[in-house]
Amino acid sequence: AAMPHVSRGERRFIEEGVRQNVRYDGRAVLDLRHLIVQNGVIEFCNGSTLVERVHTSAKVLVGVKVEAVDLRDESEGSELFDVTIDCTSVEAGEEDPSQRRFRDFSRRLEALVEEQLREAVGDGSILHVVPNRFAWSLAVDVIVLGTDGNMSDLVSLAVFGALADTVLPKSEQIETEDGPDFTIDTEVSTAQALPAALFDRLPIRVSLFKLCDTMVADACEKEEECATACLSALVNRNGELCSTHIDKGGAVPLTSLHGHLSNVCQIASELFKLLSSEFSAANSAR
Amino acid sequence: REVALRTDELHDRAIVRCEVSQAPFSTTERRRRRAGDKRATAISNFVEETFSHVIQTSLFARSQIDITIHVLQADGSVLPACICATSLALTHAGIPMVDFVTCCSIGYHDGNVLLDLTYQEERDGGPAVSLTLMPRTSQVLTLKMESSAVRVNSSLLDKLMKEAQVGCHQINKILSGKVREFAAAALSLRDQEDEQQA
Repeated sequence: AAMPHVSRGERRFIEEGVRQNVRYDGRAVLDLRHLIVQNGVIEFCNGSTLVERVHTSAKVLVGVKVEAVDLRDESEGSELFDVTIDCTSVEAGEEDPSQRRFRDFSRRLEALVEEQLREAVGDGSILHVVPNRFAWSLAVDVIVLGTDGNMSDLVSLAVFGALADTVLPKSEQIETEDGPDFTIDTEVSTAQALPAALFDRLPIRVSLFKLCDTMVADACEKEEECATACLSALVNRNGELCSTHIDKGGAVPLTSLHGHLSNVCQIASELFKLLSSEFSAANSAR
Repeated sequence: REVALRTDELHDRAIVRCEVSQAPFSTTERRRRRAGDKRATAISNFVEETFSHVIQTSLFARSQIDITIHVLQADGSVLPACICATSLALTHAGIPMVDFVTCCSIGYHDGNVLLDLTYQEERDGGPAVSLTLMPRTSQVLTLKMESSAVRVNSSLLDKLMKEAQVGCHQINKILSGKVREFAAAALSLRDQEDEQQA
């Protein structure tokens, strides 16, 4: 959908509603919209997830492909992941194609997803197959099929889901004349998930949007348009804050910052519960 | 919707715009595709041209019809899949068309005619024909042929086109069946709502 135009009357309606704890779509200020998570939707990928928000047009598809790389061929400082964001279907709805505001949107999303993966991958040792010689490289491709506000959070959830769905071929380290090497078992039945330690470190993003003096969670498109500031944080499943941002040129009072970050951690823990129940149901079905 | 750029607007009909994007994970080997990828541009031009003739654009003067195609998994015959998917999407959107459009790919290898080519079969070097057909009137909208290794004579082309038409009619049967199923479900839902209101 194109960026919404919010009239003065609508803006007033949204702000007055938030003051009375009743939002544009009837939710309370910290309520989230319902999510549907589907795994394994793309057969060609090592892992994939489709996440959509119920009764909205927001839908994100993430595919993860894994490749073994020789670390000697990689330049110093290069990362063991590559992220692409495709917003073609939402760009097509943009009224003025020459402006293409969604190109900036996709660049911003790319930076946010890279930040999320950097927290998980760290120095890359977690993905090493043969220490300091061969490693798995993650290619994360995100397709934004529809938007309805708060897309950075939805994308981070979808990325988490796709990585949780990812399976790697079973590898075994061997010694050869040229030094340490590894073999791969191509049997699908022996495939294994990404290291559990990666998921302890992999955070999800939760954003709160400032409307009047109230912070609302999971803002829809019109609320996001009216918001004067956005506080977003990366939280891992241990409840630890990995990073925070304040965007949209606004400010958040210092005295209330601790309370807002506690709310962010609370919301993140609810989302992790949802994700773990979805994935344990999917794994038992497999 | 309204035409984005006034200079593109036509006073007596709608313009059809198509954007095609192929996901990097769509093929077995991941390939990062840039904006303006030649193959995607060729497919989008093909779809635009095909549907500009089929959609009753005179009913939507000064408007724009946007078609967006995401290729999520590809294993050959991408263009026919795009055409068939667009037909279904336009039907679902209620855009009036002259006829349903189906497209089928056909090839020839070692004396055998192959219908609905895979990626490997397309790369084989033999002729690969994509035929777009309006099944009700059996009129051919477009015919695209590529052949690097084998030269095609007129009798072989006739044979390929006949088989491609059979393929298009088979696809039409499947797609029309789906449209009828969807319409039946929508009508029964509407009838249930009417009964509840009554």
